[in-house]
Amino acid sequence: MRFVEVRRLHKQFDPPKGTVAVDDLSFGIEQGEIYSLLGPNGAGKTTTISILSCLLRPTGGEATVAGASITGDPAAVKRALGVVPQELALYPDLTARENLAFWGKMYGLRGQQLDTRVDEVLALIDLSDRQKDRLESFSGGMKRRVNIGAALLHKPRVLFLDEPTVGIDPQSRRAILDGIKDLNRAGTTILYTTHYMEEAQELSNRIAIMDHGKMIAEGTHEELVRSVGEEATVTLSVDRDLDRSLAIWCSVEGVTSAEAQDDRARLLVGDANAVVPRLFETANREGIRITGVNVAEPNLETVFLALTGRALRD
Amino acid sequence: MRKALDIALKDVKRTFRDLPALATMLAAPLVIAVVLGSAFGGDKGFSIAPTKVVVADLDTPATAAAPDSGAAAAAAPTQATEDSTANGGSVGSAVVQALTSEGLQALLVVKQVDTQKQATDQVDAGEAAVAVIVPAGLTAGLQSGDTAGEITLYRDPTKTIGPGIVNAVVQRVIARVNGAAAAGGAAAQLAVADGVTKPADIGPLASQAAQSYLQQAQARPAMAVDAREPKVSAADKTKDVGVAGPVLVGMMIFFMFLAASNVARSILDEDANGTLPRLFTTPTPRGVILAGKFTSVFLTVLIQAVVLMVAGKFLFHIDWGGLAPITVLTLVGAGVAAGFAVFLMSLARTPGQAGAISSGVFLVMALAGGNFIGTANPGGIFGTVRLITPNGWLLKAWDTTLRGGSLGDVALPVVVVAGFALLTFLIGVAVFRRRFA
Repeated sequence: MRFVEVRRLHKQFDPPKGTVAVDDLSFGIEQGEIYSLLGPNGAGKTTTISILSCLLRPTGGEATVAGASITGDPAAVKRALGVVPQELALYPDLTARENLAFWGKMYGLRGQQLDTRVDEVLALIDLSDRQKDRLESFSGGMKRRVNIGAALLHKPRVLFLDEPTVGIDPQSRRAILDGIKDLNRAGTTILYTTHYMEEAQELSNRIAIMDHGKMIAEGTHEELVRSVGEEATVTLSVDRDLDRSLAIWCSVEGVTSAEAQDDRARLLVGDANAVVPRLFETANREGIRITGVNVAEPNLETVFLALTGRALRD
Repeated sequence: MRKALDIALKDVKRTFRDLPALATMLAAPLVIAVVLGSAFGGDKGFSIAPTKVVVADLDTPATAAAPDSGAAAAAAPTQATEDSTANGGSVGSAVVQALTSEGLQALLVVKQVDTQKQATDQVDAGEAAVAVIVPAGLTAGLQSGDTAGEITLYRDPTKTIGPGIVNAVVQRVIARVNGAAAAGGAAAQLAVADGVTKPADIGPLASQAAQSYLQQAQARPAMAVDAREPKVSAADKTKDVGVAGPVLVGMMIFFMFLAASNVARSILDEDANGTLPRLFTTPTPRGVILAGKFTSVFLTVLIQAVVLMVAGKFLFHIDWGGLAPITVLTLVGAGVAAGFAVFLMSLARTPGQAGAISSGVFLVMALAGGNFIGTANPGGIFGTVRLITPNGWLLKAWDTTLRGGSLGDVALPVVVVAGFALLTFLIGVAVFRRRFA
């Protein structure tokens, strides 16, 4: 059995006519793995994490975390689990230390053990020097770090992070992503949700792409990209004769498809490094002036686009 | 249970770090109590300040006039009565004697002056609240029947209570004089009917009848204050509770309900802010989490009550009563405030709704219960209506305690209030448990 096992999970709010937020979702996470749920807003990522955190009851299916059933033994699940919610769930009128100490108590820590862990976590999130300041005086990034720290006090075996980098500056985001990698290297299994494909690509051992409550693809980054072909997308702008240009470029070696999109030529090519020079040569020969060019190697955005017909950030 | 206590202590800490909340919980009841107390007069503490009265007794001959008030005149009321009647005393001296009687010494400070102008000038200057002017020859006029006579009250229009007392006292004296005149007249008519025809014989009979009436009237208390007091078993049941205690109790109870709703609303606030759902992801049972939240409401209100009572003790020298009834009343008061707050919060879906509902309900309860009139029982329908609310029962119990009542004396109100607390709390808990199941 996998460390986190999800089988045909289903959640409908206000059944029978309410919204189906999670629809027949199945996946598994190995111990020590970083697994990402990638999808646009409303894809069902947060609902999935809420169910796995025993916050919501599923209307169907089952899941286990660290061997314990989320419906049969939620207390055991919660003991193994650390949850970092999407929104800041802290007390702004308490200091950083008071916040961490309170959440530590909620995980059963007391006395010297609690003090030690609070010190360790403060060091981990690099806020030891601000521990006596109230959270209301912190920047957004610092609050996010405390938000994550509050879930680490009891050394959880598995950590659920629900879009922990939303709305923060690039520097804080980098610090959080590096911290997550460190935690994973220390042995923590991580379930990470995001709608930033770069984060999923950088962090994850495996990625599940979700849309409308369903899983539409799962695998490593390479597997997912390969599943929709390894072609790069070359977008060209020309000064005139777009239709004639498309007809000409269609016949260039290495171009598999060409179509007009927003007054530009969008070409799928096998090896962009080899094909792009040929496209320019052909254009020169035919008297077509290229005014803009963009090369996009295949990525998760491409995968999402190929699977849903929509961009990930739509 | 340690986790429940951790949650409660966290909430209490947060509440007592919130300056607006502190102002509502502690400063507002004290300030409003002072304002309400001042409305009863007095600038020292909450006691009713004595009214300064100046009397120009032009009716009494200078040699017979009493000296400046107070103790000297009050020391020999019986003698003054006799002077004013049998020994040819005047109406003026009767007025002075009534105003300086022992029962009114705490309410009136009387000063005598020689002329009407001196009297009115003191009122105009704000040195006295009311001037009583007894015109020269009033007694003689009444005795001869030549004139009806008239006593003038010259009062500061901004003062009400003191001049009202003076007016009542003077009216009573006038009533006695009029009664004596009527008794004399009646005696004279009876004498004529019996065949006495000589004026020399009729005069003494009429005078004797008038003196007899006055003596009988004087034998009754000069002035009685209609004070309502609850029945208490303690020995000092006549204990004067003053104004501060009853007024502060009314405010304390009202603001305990408001503070309880403020803390109870944190359940909805935490739900909206995400900390409550996060708590539910920890290995802490939901029942324990809710118990912690409820405990925080109770603890906060309890601390509030204790602080207010200590402040009342030291700032206003309030004698709250016996330790046992105080303790029990404080606990059930905190309990009913917490119970009602939890109940009302359970009816609301959002913190905004909760604020509106609790403010409205608690204001109506305070008005119906009588929080703004202190602990006094107004009687009548209102005296019955107030007992529909826990506020009314608490005020009733506190009034008894302030007057020295024992725990047994407040047993019924305590039971009723505890019933209110238990009922509302259980309903609130049931609704919350269902919502967060």
